[in-house]
Amino acid sequence: MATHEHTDIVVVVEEADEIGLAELAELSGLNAESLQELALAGCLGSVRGTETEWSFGSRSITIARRARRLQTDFGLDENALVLALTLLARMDELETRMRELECQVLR
Amino acid sequence: MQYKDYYKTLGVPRGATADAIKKAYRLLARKYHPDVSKEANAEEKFKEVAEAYEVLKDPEKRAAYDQLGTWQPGQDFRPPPDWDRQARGFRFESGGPGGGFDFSDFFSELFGGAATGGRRAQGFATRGQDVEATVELTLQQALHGTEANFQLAVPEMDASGHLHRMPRQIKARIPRGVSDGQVMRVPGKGGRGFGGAPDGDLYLKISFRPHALFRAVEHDLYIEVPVTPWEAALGATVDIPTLDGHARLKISAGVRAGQKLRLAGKGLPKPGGHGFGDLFAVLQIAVPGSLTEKEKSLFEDLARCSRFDPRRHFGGS
Repeated sequence: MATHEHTDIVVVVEEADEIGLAELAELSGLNAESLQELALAGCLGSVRGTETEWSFGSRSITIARRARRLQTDFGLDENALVLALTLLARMDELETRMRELECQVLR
Repeated sequence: MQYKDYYKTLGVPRGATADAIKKAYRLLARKYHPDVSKEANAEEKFKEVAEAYEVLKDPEKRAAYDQLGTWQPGQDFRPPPDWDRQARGFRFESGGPGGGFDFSDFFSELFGGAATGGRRAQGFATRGQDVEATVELTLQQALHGTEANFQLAVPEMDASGHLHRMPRQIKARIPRGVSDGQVMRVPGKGGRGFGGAPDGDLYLKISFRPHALFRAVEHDLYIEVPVTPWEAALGATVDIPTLDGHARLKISAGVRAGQKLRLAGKGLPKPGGHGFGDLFAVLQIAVPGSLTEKEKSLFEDLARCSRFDPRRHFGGS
């Protein structure tokens, strides 16, 4: 096997353009119907546009990818998936707030 | 290659039923799944569990695995001469647990090598894997923009179709205007594609390090400002810190605890040069922990002559 050395990659981070439902399906591995259900349930973060022409940012992509992993690895149906994503998002918020408060208490 | 004891990984005996194997997998998946687990090395452990389940849940693969015989975990191993994976025609399903894409060399040699090799022979193209990383910034770095250096293990397929995690040093230029929790997709900077397929994407999640004074909400900042009872009652002008200096805060007479005073444009920069968020000073009324005799006397005089009743809304009860 050939050895590979570290490769320095310089990345200029800019917000990528928003994408539509079809592209989100391709990037996340979920089908369009599942994504629509998740968007309507408010699980995909900020979604712009109308139901016939939604556009999604990068955050929606990572949530959708997380949804796919949960669905595949735990065999969740749509209701359970919505619940899991909602609770995980809430946990993220609470953990962030907890870190902030710990920092202020230590002051 | 080194032998992997999949039964031991799942914590089940060799004769375990399919149901017992499924239950064991579910228990361990809940414990180590990287989206829900806080355990150390959760991702690595989950991959082992997912790989073990991928083999043991499938009666054909399980039977073939059992025919390898009993070895010690980590022992140097070669399959028996008559063990021929090609004849079994195993299929490598990317939809299985763990994404089915990042298995060990042991698995790839025994169960996946034929499939991926066959795919390659047929000109099968595989998009590069997407890679996610979290970049932690201080508020100062978010204020000015910064360069973040970190290393990632990026999954890439070699010429024989086996997946390896290659270390890659990333230098990311983060612009001004990012917010906490924001995810930025960098197309084409993930794992390399195979067979002419495009490279995967890099997803960078921005995470602000907690600050001792300021809390960020989108591009606004919040700071708790303690004031004395007489400052709250009489009004005052106080100095407060901002992220890049100081500001004078004018407090009107009669403010309440929890009241927010806005300092426009003193928050974090918004993307694209579209101005700044605001700084909100959240007032807290601080009472001295101990009083001198004179201070105590003055407070007692005030208590006697004031008609202020903060509990009037409780009514007569």
